[in-house]
Amino acid sequence: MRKLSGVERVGKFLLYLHTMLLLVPLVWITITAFKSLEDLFTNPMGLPKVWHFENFIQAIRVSNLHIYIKNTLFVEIVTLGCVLLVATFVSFALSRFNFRFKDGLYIFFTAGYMISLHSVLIPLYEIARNLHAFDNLFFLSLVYSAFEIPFSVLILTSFMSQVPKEIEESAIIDGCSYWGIYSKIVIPLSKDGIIAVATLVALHVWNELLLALVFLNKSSSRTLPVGMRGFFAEYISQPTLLFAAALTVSIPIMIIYSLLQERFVQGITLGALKG
Amino acid sequence: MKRLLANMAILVCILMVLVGIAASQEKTTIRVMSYFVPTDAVTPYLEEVFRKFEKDFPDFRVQHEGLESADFRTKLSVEMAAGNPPDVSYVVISLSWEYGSKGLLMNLAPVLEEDKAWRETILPRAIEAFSTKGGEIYAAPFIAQIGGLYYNKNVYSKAGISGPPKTWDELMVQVEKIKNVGAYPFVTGGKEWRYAWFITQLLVRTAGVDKIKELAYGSEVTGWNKPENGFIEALRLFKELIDAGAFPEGLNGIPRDIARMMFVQNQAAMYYEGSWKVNVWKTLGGEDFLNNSVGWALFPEIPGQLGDQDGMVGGPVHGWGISAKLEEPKRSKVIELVKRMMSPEIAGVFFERSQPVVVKVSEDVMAKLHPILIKQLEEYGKTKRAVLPTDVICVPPVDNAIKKIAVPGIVDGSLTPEEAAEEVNKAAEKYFLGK
Repeated sequence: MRKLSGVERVGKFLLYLHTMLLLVPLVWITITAFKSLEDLFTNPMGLPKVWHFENFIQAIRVSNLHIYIKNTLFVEIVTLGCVLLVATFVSFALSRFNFRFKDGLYIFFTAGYMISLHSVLIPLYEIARNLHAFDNLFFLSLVYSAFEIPFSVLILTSFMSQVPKEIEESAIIDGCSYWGIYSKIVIPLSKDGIIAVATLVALHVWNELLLALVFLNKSSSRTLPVGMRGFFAEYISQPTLLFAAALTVSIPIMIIYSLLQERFVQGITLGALKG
Repeated sequence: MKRLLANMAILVCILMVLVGIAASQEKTTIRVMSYFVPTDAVTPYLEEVFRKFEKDFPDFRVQHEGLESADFRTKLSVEMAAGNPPDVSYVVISLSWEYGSKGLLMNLAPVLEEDKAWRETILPRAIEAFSTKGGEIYAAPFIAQIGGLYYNKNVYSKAGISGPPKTWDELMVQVEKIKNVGAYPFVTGGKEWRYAWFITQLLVRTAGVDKIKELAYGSEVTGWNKPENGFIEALRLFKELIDAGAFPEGLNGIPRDIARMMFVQNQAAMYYEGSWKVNVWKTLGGEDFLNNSVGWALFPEIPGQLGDQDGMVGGPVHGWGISAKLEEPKRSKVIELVKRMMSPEIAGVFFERSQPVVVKVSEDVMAKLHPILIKQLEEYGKTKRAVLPTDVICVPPVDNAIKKIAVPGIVDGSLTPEEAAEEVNKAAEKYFLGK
């Protein structure tokens, strides 16, 4: 193995230091999750005087965490399904075909990205009210999809337009249909972009608060961001329970991210270069 | 084939009958929206009331939505803007007036007039405070708060201070002494703009209770920038404290929980806020800390100022508002539910958690109160000069201008007291005059 130069050693040391610093909040949250409230406020940086493992059970019990996780996963799956289906179709059409008003259609789809959520909140509320769609997770997923599609089209169109025309032409000569080109050529070659878009959409939905707050009334239909706010009482918050809950719910995200990390970074980097 | 069709027809009929039965048995939902999140100590008691109500009135189902206070306000404002208020909502006085005047909350004055027994359970001073000039009452008064100076006896003792300051000059001397022992004289949650109580108390001293009411909802609503109304002077006094280093650097970025931690850990000497803090100190610092290390006093007098030197910040703050959109028979059931949510038993639960209720409670409950809370009630009972903080009595745009623009501007030095007052006045003019 090549010996590292002095500068490289310093660089490596700084990188390790940076990584350690990034871990500090996570370690602190983990330690705090095991403390009592009094222990946290009198001894914020130290180890717990008594390790309160029951904080995790209490956090799940008090806040119905399992219900929030189930609801959030439902919304995630429906939103991802809608967004990826619509965005890949639209992006495929916009990137592979030439037709009248193509540019106009591209602007139409991507202009949605500029609409502020707050400006349409009350009209959306009215729609939900007229459709009796409060507490309906499917409706919430459709609203999320509407907000996520413009961004996804923007990214995926740039990705798909980079797939060489020659491959497509060869496939047509071999008798491949447009559906075949979409499903067997363009989608597999845009896999990194699709994974990057899916990850970003999933993260947005996982963290979205405002729409979920407004459209979901019942405790049993809440998603995680709204449910987790239940640890903030008006006069006394419960940070220890909150951290226990936060750790619990971040485990699936951490697993998914660590599994897809390489593709995600690749997708984002390629997306930055293309287009 | 025929048999199959016949069986299917029978099945469809059975399903239709079942759906019909289910529809006919569908319960009416009463939606209650409050700050009482699942982890709040009072929530289980409220839930108990709801379950008992459902048992007594089987056709009704109570759906309680306990939200964090900022989320609550966001959701309430969307629902009110869409003209669809929750059946019951936990509102501060100013919001009750605002939504009531727009026809979104029910005027409870006739209900209270008719139901004398209910009216008598509520303190007359609270009913008076919730009443508009026209006599309407848009929320049933429930919770009060009394402001004052909490001081940390450990820090005081370390700084060689014998007791809380009686005058502004004494306060400024204490500020120096406390700084000399490495502690912060004052702290508050600047990140969440927890300035309203403090600034209102200064305003009580510089302008007086009556003038504050005039500024909030009377004849001087656009007079925040007039020197004679005392707001500029209150901001100047606050600036004097900032300039003297009475608050930590970067106050605007200090979260409420960190500010509390500083007080509990003997890093800060004084904290000005309402009665709920008694329970906060007990929960975060422990019973010993509350009993042995926390003192409470009235804010010092400021000789030479034109306001009320014995005036306090406090009074009835929150009440239960009922939607004006309700129709019978739901309307009377919702009123019944609100009465149950304000029963002396439930009121006692709130009181024991240092949230003074404006509903008469039993002697037993009173006997269990912490001495600091009793002292607050005594002082509040004695004074005739009390006013609620600006975040309760001012309309939201003015409240926001005070706590989110004017005071933070003084803290970070970006605004002079005159400029800060002008910002508040601009917000008031925009709201009241449409300028």
